Amino acid sequence: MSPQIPGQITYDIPQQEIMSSGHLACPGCGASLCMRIALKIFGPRTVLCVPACCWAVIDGPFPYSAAGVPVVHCAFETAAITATGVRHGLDIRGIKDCTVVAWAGDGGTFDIGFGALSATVERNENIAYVCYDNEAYMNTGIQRSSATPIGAWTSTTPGEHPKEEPKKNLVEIMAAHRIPYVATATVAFMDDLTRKLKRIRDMEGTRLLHIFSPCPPGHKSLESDSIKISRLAVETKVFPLYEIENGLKYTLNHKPKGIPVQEYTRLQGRFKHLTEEDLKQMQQRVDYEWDVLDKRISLFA
Amino acid sequence: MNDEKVNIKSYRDIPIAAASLGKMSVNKTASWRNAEPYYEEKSAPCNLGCPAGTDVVKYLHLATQGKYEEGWKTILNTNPFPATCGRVCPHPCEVNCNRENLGGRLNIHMIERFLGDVNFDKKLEPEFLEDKKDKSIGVVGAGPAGLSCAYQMARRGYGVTVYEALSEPGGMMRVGIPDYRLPKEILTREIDFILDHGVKLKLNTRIGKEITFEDIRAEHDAVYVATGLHLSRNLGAEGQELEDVIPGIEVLRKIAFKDEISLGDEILVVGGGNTALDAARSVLRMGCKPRIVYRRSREEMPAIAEEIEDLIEEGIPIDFLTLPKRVYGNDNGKIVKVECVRMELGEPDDSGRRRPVEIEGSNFNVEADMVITAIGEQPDLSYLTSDVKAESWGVLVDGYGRTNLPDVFAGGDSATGDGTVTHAVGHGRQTALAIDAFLKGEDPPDCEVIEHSVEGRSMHQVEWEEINPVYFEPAERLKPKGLEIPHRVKNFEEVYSGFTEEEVLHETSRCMSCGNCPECDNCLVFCPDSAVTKNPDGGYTINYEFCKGCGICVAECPRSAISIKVL
Repeated sequence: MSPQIPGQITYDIPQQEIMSSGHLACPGCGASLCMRIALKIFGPRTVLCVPACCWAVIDGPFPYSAAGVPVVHCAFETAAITATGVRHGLDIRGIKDCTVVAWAGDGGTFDIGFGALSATVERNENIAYVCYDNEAYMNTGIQRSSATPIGAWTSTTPGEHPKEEPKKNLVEIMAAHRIPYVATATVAFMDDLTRKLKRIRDMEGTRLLHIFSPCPPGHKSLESDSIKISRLAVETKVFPLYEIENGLKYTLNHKPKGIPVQEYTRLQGRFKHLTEEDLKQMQQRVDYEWDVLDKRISLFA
Repeated sequence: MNDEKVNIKSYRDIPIAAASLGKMSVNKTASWRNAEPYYEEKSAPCNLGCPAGTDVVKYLHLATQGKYEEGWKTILNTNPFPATCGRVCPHPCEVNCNRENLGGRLNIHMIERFLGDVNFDKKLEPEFLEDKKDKSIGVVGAGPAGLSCAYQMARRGYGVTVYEALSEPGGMMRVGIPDYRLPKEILTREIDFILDHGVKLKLNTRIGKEITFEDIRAEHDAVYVATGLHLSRNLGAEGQELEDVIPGIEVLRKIAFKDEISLGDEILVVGGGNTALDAARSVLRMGCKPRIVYRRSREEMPAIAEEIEDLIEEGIPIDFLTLPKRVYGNDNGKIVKVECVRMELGEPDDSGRRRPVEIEGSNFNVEADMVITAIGEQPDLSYLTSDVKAESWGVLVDGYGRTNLPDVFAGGDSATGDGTVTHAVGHGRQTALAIDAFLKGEDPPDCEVIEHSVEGRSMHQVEWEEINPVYFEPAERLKPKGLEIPHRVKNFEEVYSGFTEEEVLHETSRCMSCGNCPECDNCLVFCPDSAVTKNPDGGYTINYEFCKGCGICVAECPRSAISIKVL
């Protein structure tokens, strides 16, 4: 009988640190943790293509870099096509053992880089695309993006006018492209995240990982609560963990506990203005979206 | 790229393409920090609860990994009686167990018992902590306190002689606890291990009879007195001088030694402590009909709660709030009946329990031909010389077991009256450390450190609020299997069987290791700043050059082995 130690999680993550300390992410940043783990999985033979986003700043100013691998800083709308270009260039030179990753925030993915991303997926370019989604333009001062959830405060949806539109469903749009692989992940579910990172490292074709990434200054939350918020996003069904292969084969990766949404929103100042009625509506919306996903999963399992 | 600062003096130093030349590790983000995490192992409730000061959390962790012999040795370090205490201790270690909130407290005593039993046949070589010394101590009384003290002193290289009045060692463990709770071969094996350390045992040697207290003091450099409570208190009712009114401890001793004993048919047992319960359940097993009368209610009963349940299961009636007033004998001096009176609870007394008051006119008679008294015991200290300060309830000692005489120490029930084997073992060890210090001309070590196996942890007890429950699945507490009632009341077979290895692993896998780091890697994995590194020799180090003080490591530690301080 193998000994079990409760709470003794055995992580399958390489010890080697590729990303260096001293980067410019705020304390408790989910995006810097994503990158740290992703680089451990991708390994040193990785090229990152980073458009305007938090990571353009986190990596550090010239002549310094925190990533520990080559970073191509590119224009806001060009993460996917820059990665495409790098991939083709490396292929022409016969360099096959590199993972080319477009690493963009939600603004550069959902909004500004969306056209380029769609075209890239349509051509099924051989790149990995990681969208670390902190649900607003955090880097420039917390402006709303199409990834911002309904009801959230941002500096452009302030005071009595929180965002009225629901979050864009990127994963479904990608599935509609029949992308070879698209999945959601978040930092609290580390085994799930590392498994998916390995998958997008080893696959051919366009593959996209959508990572929910808590942001203490933008979500107005405690720095120490980042993992807890990430965990609650999944357990409340706000951000279910699932993957879709070839746009059709759905797999749910973690059965959410179905904790009330309020448990998730109350840890974040961006939701503090919500009334009980608002929260009820939010719960209904989350339940509805979950039902839709659940039906898809049972239909296209 | 290197870790050093890049020095650009002119445009010629700038690369043609804007490529980075150095790592961001030149940027010491420590200056951002307004709070600082640090590793701080804390005390688990089980460790702070153990009167013997055993490192419970450590042996549970070893048992989890299947390292049963190491776990056993961990207990032996502080307590030479794991198999015994696993059976008879009322397990105060379990009282504050944080698993209470996730399926019930851990069944710690059954794991202790398993570790004692699974290694039972192993012949362990005694380990000596210090070299042999030419000083010796005399221990009066081979009970749990005396043997524990003897064991600890022998391990420290002292010559030890234990003087025991009875024909076999073990004290109350031998003559007070019946076989159905503690089979005697278990006890004998554990005592043999103590004797293996070179402890001399002089049986049938009553102080004041075969040898005087002065002789012992003259022969040894220090004396430890732990003679227990072997005098029964009188019934305090009319007719108490009748022949068949006998003390419970005498009944238990006779049964233990298989001496001849004439029992009645219907036996009234007076008292609510463990002696009363043990006496009642023992005579039941010898074919008698016992009945317990106790002057307070069930809540006030000092006996171990599980034992009360077992007794009720076995069908022994208890009259709560009942006091015997008079024992009636016939012309031959044989008991025919006992007159009792009902009581009600009044104001709390010195012990904090509500004082029972007689209800006038509620007298009634109970048929009985024998009365067993178990309303408390006292020490017999008649052998002590008058220069040792003592009261009727025991020898006066300080927290280290020191009496008013520098070379005389005392402990166990005859000094503290705590009343459990494990407390006695703890006192024996604590006083052994004080005697050791006295013989070396040093001050005794810090009291709290002796009482509990702190081992570099803070004394802070980890509370449920400090546990991160998402890392633990709820799981039920396992209970030991007992013999069927009709079978168990006919003989002295052990009532509860021990856990199987599978059951032990189920229980140990529930241990959350409160406050103690088993290296789960959460702090390492969740640090956004790569500021935590794993040490090659165990544990982790926080790199304070870069830690931004976000506190994620503290929040995600499942068991509160990291603390944070605001700067």
